[in-house]
Amino acid sequence: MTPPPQPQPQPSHDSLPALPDDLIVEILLRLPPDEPEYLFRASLVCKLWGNLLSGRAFRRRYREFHQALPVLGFFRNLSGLARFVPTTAFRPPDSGKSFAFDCRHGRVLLSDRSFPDSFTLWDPMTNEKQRVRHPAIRGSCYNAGVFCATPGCDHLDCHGGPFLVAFVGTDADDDGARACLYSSETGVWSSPSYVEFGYELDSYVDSMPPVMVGDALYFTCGTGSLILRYNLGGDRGLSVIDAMDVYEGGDNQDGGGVVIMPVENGGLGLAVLNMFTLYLWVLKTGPGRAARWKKSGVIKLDMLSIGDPRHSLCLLSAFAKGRASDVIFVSTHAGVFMIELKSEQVTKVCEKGLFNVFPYMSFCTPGTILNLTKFYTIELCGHSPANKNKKSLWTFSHNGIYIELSLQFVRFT
Amino acid sequence: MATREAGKKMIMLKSPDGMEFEVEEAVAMESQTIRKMIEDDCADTAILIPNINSKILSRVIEYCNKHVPTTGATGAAASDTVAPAALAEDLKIWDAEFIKVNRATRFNLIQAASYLNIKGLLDLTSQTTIDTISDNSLEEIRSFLSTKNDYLPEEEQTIRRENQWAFQ
Repeated sequence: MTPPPQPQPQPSHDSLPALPDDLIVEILLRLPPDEPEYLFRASLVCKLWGNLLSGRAFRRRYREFHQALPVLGFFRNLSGLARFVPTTAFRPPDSGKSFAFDCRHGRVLLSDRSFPDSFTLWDPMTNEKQRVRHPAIRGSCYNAGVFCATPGCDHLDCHGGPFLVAFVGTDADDDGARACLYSSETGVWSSPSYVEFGYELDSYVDSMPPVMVGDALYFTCGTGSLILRYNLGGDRGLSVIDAMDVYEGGDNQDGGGVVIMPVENGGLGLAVLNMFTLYLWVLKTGPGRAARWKKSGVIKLDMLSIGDPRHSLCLLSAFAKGRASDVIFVSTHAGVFMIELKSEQVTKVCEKGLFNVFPYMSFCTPGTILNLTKFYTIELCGHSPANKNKKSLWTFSHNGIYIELSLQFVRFT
Repeated sequence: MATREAGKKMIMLKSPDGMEFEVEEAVAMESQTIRKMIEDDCADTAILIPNINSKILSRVIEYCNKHVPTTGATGAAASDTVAPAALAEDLKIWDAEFIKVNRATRFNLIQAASYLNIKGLLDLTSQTTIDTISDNSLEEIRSFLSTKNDYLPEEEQTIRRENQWAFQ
């Protein structure tokens, strides 16, 4: 048989063999995504490493190798302003005077005080911002979510691509909710969908982060007593899911809070906190049957019982961290904690505060941050026979792609 | 040359410096490159492993021999008598000893692991370089890799300035 391509000739063991580029990449792929500073440090070793690490090919290999996005930190709204709470060395640029609605697929949806009639879509990695004017249906209370618009995307590196913004609004004089969808590709909002709550409640939409499960976005209303499902595929209809029977069981009698969350197998879950106990519920649906909540677990949060237990805990938000674990945020008098539900690992995120928390998950390689200075290798090709008809020819080598530049001098007479 | 010993299928690996190594097929198939050759029926006779000298090839076979019971087709027999956790711990200690080699040998092992497509060995041999990048200053990393800094001072300063968070 014909052997595969052969590796470089073997040097003696006294000298250090020069590693081919693909092996350097093979090693550097193993730098951990949750310590992105080492990728940047490695890019300063020499220009070859810098070019390899900032290349598109490395970015693709890196996300294929690691697959699960790292949590680089969290955005939180404190005193009406979005602030980044790092859990790694990564620091985004300042987002300005703005309030965060949602953070998903590498993008943050903000309301910038300087542009009160618009949403601002911000990419913390590149600091690019886009404005999206509010829809005409704006209610007195509203919430919004952002997500990638590319069908079949794995969302590992799509932060610069097309996006959708979902808007849900409620009004005090109307027992219902309206929703519409903005597409960055068409630049317009869809025609609105409407649903009546059917409850004699003050069911305004909450400011809790929306949750995406399958092709629907879920918003809580009336402090979690109702859940709005906005179907993003098909009819783009709005529907109401009752969560009140969960409270009637007494789990939420002390008002520790409720958050919605995606669960395994693509379902919708609900976490209810009562003192130091977390009750988990799953929404069961079946053909021809009304959806109902089923209790799926009880987790004691005794690890948070620091100090005086009379200080109530409060759930802030929950999210699925990759495929491996669900994470909830709990605010206590001792600070805000992130708890991985399966391992029950507790991490303190920041000091005391009650505010929405949005995890920011993204790969951060030197090539992701566009303002990393690229150093081009420029060489004059000379007058080889192939180029003899050209006045002057330069080649640029950038990330393995050679760009030929022909200079022509034209005299206007 | 393929042969049989005690019911196990054997396979012959040849290094370019003329050494021959008879190994169990299951051990050789720890290498995805060799596995593909065997599965494609390209390995009836001895397999020449180009440009991996006998010293490095013997180390690679030593690694595969050690790792085949837990990851290969014959894993069940060993796992019956030893608890998986203890086995994993034993392998970890063995790996740590195995990788105590000089830089040139380690780099040659990286090349061999990549060519033969042995993920575990590539992870193990790459990790020291990763640890070096994580634990040392830039000058120490360059010295470890025998690499010269070819950035101009102002170029290096620009990268540091634009990504300050990574260099604090």
